[in-house]
Amino acid sequence: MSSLLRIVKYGFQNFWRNKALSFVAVTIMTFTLLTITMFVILNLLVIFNINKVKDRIDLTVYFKDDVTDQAIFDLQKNLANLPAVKEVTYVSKEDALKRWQQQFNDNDSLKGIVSQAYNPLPRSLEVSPQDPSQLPQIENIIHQDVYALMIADTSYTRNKDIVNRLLSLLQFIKRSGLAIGLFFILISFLVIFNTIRLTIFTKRDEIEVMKLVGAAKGFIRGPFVVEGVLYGLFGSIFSLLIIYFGVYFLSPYVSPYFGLETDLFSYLVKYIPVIVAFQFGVATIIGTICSQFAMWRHLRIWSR
Amino acid sequence: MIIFENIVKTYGNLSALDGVNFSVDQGEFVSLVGPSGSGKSTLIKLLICEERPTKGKIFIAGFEVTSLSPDQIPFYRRHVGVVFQDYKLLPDKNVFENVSYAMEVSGRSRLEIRSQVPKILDLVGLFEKKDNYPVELSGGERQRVAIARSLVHQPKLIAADEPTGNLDPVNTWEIIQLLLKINQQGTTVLLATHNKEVVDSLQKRVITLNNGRIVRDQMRGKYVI
Repeated sequence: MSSLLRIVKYGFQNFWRNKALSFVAVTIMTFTLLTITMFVILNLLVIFNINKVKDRIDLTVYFKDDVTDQAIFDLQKNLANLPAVKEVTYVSKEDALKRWQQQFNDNDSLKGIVSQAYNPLPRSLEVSPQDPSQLPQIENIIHQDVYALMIADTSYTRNKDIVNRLLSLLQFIKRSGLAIGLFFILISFLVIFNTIRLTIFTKRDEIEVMKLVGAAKGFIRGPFVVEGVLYGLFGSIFSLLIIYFGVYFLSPYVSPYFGLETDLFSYLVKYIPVIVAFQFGVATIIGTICSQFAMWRHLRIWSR
Repeated sequence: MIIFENIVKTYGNLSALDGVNFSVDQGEFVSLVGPSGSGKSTLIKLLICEERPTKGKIFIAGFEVTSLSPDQIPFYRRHVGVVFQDYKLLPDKNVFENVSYAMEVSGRSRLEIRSQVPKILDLVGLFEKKDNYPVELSGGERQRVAIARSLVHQPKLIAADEPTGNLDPVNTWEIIQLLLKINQQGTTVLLATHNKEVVDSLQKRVITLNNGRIVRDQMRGKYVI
């Protein structure tokens, strides 16, 4: 236990006494994490939007006026029992009228076309599928002989196009984000690896003395690993602060573009535990691997 | 205590040690002399397992040094104290820390360190300077710190490679007195040196090396090359 504490102590000492080197390593680590995290946030936003639009894709079935309500309710029940169907909502003539009036609230001439007295709007069932790809299948069932006679028309909403566009955008963001993220991870690997190698180089006399007085390998290596972890730790703290305040100040300008009900900042706050865990994870892995690798290369002389 | 059996060490085509055989008993004080390049430093390096011999076996303090695995070397080194010509102190640590460092790396408790280090600093006469840094010390004092450090593991053997090489006659004499004092307490001392006066006045066993071979081994020897 006391050895572990000493290893940690020496790690902090190395970090503090090589301030310039530590600064470079932490800066690179910060930028790496910033880039990766920004792409992750972008991805989350796009996925969030796609899911929202996906939910809005449904099939609306309009009924002829001479069909009885009971027949429509029967169909509603049958459709609701299908595994591909998530939800079936009945829209009565009154509901349809209300929606119309809401939709054209500021356009009196359109609003006035239909009224309680004259309501040509048909009754309808709005069918939401479990998955938008199952819509054609559901449509086929509806168009079967028994029901076909009842139906005036069916329609998809136009959201389908938007979803397809968003899906391809998501693919693009994922791929470019991954490439840029990997690029930055590679750079930070190289810089942190070389930083630790430099530290080891400046401390080679001390390492020699440690070996001579009988320090075990782990005791010599440990502080350098701690140092690498510290680079990661500080890098993630700084990048988190930058993201936090950056989003805080930019949120009012950016939020409308993402169609979020809440603003981007509170959205970020909701995901902070995930981001923190992710950053600490990535940073610690980079720091640990780099220092291990640097030590491994340097301490090979040991096996003589 | 020390047994060298047919030790051969070559660096490429260069032969540093060529069939060296000798043994040293517990509590002996042995001077190792010879001209530059005769193999003294190589012998010390083999002793502390910094190098491996090309042929032969070395036994020290119950260890077969030549067959130690890399993982065992640190533990072996805690049984052997080493002192060098250039002291090998850590410049950013003070006297106390330089000595306690050797105990820390082997996982001794803080309590042990606090009780042991002052005693050892007292033995080498540097307790008053425990808070000074190496740059503030004279050559002799630095070497005494190095000796103090080599003593913290209470080794059965101290190997000193030209410990007085950088020192004036007064400091040289102090260091030799200190090594004798340590030897009187039962520790075996192996002293590699160039200093004729020191060897002649010691009147102890002298092993003379030349071209990687032992050319003389006398119980009350003189510095003769």
